[in-house]
Amino acid sequence: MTFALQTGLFFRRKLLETLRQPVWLVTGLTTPLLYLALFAPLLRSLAGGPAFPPGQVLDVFVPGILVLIAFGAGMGAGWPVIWELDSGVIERLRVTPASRFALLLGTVLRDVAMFAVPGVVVMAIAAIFGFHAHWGGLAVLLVLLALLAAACSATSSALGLNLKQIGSLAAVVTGVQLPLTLLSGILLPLSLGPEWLRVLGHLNPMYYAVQASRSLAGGAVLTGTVGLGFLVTGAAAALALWWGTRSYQRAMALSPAPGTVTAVEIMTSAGPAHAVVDEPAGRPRFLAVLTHGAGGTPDTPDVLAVRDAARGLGAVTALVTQPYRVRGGRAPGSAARQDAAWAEIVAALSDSGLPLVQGGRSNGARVACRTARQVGAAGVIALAFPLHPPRRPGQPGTSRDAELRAAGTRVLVLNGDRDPFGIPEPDDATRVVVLPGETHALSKNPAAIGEAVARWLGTLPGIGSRPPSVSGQAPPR
Amino acid sequence: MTGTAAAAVQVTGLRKTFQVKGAPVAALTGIDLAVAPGEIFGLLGPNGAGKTTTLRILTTLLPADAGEALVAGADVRREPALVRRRIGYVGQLGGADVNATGRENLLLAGRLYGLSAAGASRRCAELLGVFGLGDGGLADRAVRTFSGGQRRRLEVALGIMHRPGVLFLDEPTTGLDPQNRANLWDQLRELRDGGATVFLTTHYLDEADQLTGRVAIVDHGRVIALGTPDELKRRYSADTISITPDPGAPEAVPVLARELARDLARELGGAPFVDRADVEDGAIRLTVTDTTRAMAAVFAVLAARGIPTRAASIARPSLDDVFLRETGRSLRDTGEETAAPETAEVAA
Repeated sequence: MTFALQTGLFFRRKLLETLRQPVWLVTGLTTPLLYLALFAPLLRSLAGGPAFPPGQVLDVFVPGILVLIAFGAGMGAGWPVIWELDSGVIERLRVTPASRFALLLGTVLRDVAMFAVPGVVVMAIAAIFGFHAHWGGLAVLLVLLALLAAACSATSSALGLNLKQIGSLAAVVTGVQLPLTLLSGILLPLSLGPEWLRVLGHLNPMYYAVQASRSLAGGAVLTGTVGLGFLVTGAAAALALWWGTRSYQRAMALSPAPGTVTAVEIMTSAGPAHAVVDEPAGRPRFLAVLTHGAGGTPDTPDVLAVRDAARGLGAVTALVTQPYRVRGGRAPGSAARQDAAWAEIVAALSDSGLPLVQGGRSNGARVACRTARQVGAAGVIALAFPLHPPRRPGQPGTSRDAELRAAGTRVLVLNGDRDPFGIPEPDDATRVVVLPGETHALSKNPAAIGEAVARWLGTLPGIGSRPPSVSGQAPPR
Repeated sequence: MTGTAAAAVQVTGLRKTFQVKGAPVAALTGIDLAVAPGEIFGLLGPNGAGKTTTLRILTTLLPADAGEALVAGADVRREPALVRRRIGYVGQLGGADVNATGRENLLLAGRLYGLSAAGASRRCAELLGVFGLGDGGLADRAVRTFSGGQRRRLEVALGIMHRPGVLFLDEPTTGLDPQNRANLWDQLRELRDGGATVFLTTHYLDEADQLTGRVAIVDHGRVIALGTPDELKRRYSADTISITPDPGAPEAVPVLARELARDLARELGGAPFVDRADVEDGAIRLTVTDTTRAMAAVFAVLAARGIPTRAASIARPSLDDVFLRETGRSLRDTGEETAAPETAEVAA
């Protein structure tokens, strides 16, 4: 009972995760339909040839597409697993009483659903276009391919948990995908190929699933081919589920590259400022000093995304709480006083002679622009730059574009397209990125911010010239 | 120290070796410690000292090569399921699912620990309030949109959803700004006051000093010192009293220092409370073993001689002095947080 409950909870979690990314839903449905629309016509000219099995093209082709959907739905499971490993989700769940098998099964069942829904849609649409649907056989076929999707999903999860790195997983999955699919006769029956190809095909477990699928789609349920298909696919699924569960029992994230995080206090003419300084393990390549907006804290998702992007490129990063915020004030007060304190903070942080990139959100972006020349910044990152006070666009004298233009260095602006404070024009800065759907908070899609910042930092002289060093595998301490 | 039967965590001879590129690397070379119920216990040490490995063994994430560990009355090796039911864990990586909302994260955690749907939702509402996550619809936003401080608070809430008897936290305040850090300390103290045992790792000297009731200092996979921060500091180093007197002329200060030390010895009945008297920048620095009595005596002597005092302060030794004494290195030299020694102004 608890096991069923836990499996249900994990299934729900995974399903919600997928449903919240409509992109996956759309491609999950369109890819098989595109195969139907674009590939099937190519086969028509081959139909009736000597090596082609009898029957309509769709009758041969549709079972293959269904196998492909099952394979694709399952093999994607490994990527989010690595991501969950890195963010500590799996480690946390491993310390709960939850069954590891239930944890695996949640993902497996989601992937089965992600196969079944498009699978049925493809069958229905193909039937309209002349596919001879034997509904009894297709029902059994769904069960068989659900097993295949489960086997692929569990395998992919296990691979992710053991390889722990996106790059390695991608290499293994793409390396395996092509021979597995081609040697199973998914798209074109192996009977078209020479003897050696057919022999090789018999060594591929997926071959039996494809053969059984064709038999079932043709309405032949009680055949040896179908029995063999179930036997091989069932065994593969059992093996994969065992391996996946075992992998969850031991899963451990790669240790993060050792570095040090220090909280420091910096005295300025406007009172003490706070900074959280994050140093990489190796020699840093540049210094990134980032700060909050008026009345805010420096740990908002957009600022953290910039911090992570800079850290990924080997920066020492500092998240600064300015003196007026340390005092508890909400308004920054006089700009001259604020800028003077900022220059003192940057001077205290940058004794190492590294190239400096500074940035902030909203009011913090303005400070970064205004002081860029004075502190000798190699670049400025302006998040949610407040071009004008809200609801007062276009009034003479209210635009702050001059602050951007006077920065005297390279400036990256990231603003939401729904920012009531306005959006800088493309020629106000070196690069202006407008993020769709975001407001002044820039909190909806931190990943997009991180990506844009990393790409832009890569173009800065002295920062983007070398690739970031990749941390090696170290034991957890 | 309580008896072993009542200990919340009891560890003896814990060892662990990792294979790194085919070569064995010893992470733990024999950890022994006992944590009493209801205390905040800290493992302090530099990166690579074995803190996280110890925590991972105690939370059933990693098997030990040798040694015994009892956590919340259950054996980590033989009864891992029982241990998991009784403890909470907040890892270094956090572990909140950022694609789900804060509420979904909490409810799932509650259900996994066997709370009913209604029970989980009551507890969730309670914790959202306690951790200040209940306002403005925050709990129903994807965790991805949380600030760093909000996310860390959620992660601690996730660890205590099921009211565990023992809560483990791995470097809980790393990367937090001072305000969020102070908030988290308060919350951990409240948990302790509610009867929970809190076991955390840290490489921050001030955190070990101010937050933990007892601390084990670890280095190279073994415990090198264990006790309350005050005990440890007293055992290894003495307090320093600094007085800036105003005897009229600066040259008079060294003379006064000698006389003061002599007078103090007499005042304190010959007891060796004052180990040393140095002069630095016009201030007299007395190294003392019983600070309270020495301080009172210092003022008595100065008052008797009619010498005005411009400033006086007490400097306590830090846990770093303890680390230094045991390892010959400073925790600060390992590139870690440099916390100012605890200084208390007592007069001006």
